[in-house]
Amino acid sequence: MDEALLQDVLAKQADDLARGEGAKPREAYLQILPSRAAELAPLLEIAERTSRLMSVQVKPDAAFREELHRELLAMAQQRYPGGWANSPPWMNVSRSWIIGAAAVGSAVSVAGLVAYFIRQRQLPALFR
Amino acid sequence: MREIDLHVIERMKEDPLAFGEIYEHYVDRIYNYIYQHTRNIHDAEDLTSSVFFRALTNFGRYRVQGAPFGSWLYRIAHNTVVNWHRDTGRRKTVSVESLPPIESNGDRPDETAEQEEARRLLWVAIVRQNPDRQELLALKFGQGLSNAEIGKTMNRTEGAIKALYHRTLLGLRKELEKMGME
Repeated sequence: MDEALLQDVLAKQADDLARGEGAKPREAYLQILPSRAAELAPLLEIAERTSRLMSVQVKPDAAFREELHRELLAMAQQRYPGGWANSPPWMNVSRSWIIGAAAVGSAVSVAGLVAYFIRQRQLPALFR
Repeated sequence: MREIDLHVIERMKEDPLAFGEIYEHYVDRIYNYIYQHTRNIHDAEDLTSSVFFRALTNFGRYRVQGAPFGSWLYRIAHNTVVNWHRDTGRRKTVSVESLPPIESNGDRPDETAEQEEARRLLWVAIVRQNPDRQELLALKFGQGLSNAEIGKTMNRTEGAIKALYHRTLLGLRKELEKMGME
């Protein structure tokens, strides 16, 4: 029970940190589960430091960004000239349909092979 | 995470150029997310390109009624990064020199030096965590995603994400203790 609450407290602080609002003072989180304060305090402190370290945003180079934009639009126009809805039907077939069709095809092939071998075994008997 | 307007997604059905708006909406975040893993510009650019080309190629598989578009895109990025780790085996070589930058404190150089050392050791501790834990930290603190969004990206429940986060903090604490920091 305590374990789940402890994880909830850590998750709450992480959400507050990740939203960029700045977490509340550590005591506010410790008060929720005072019986585990000794264990929680260092974890809350590590989370604060990790958040500060990892929230630095790195942006892509402008030339790369523009070049990729151009390439994607060229491909989009080539692949979906009239929009995605008007693209050839085979492009919009979902993976599950493809897997289903492959499974049916495989099953038919296996059934064919089984029928062939059964037939082969029966033939000599017919001519005996 | 601020989601793109669904109308833009719908417009893709008729107008392929709408993908440009989708790209502009997400490119900085996806690049930053990937950079947090690769820590080098060349790989980050390659993988970012790969994510958007995959998204465009597989656009027909995205269902508006399913996960939000951002979660779908992050899932592609996540799989791309996982494949990159697997193919190159570079996880262990994400270098300590790749420490994220910090604004310098010109008035108090000693404090900056101390902070810098603490940051360096924390970075070492992060790099020594397994890929799932690093991924969680990148999505949570680098991208500001909620646990539900992270769960969709990493294909886990929200409860599992909370437990993973707890283990990650314990893992960081252990590494910092080994280095005499805690």
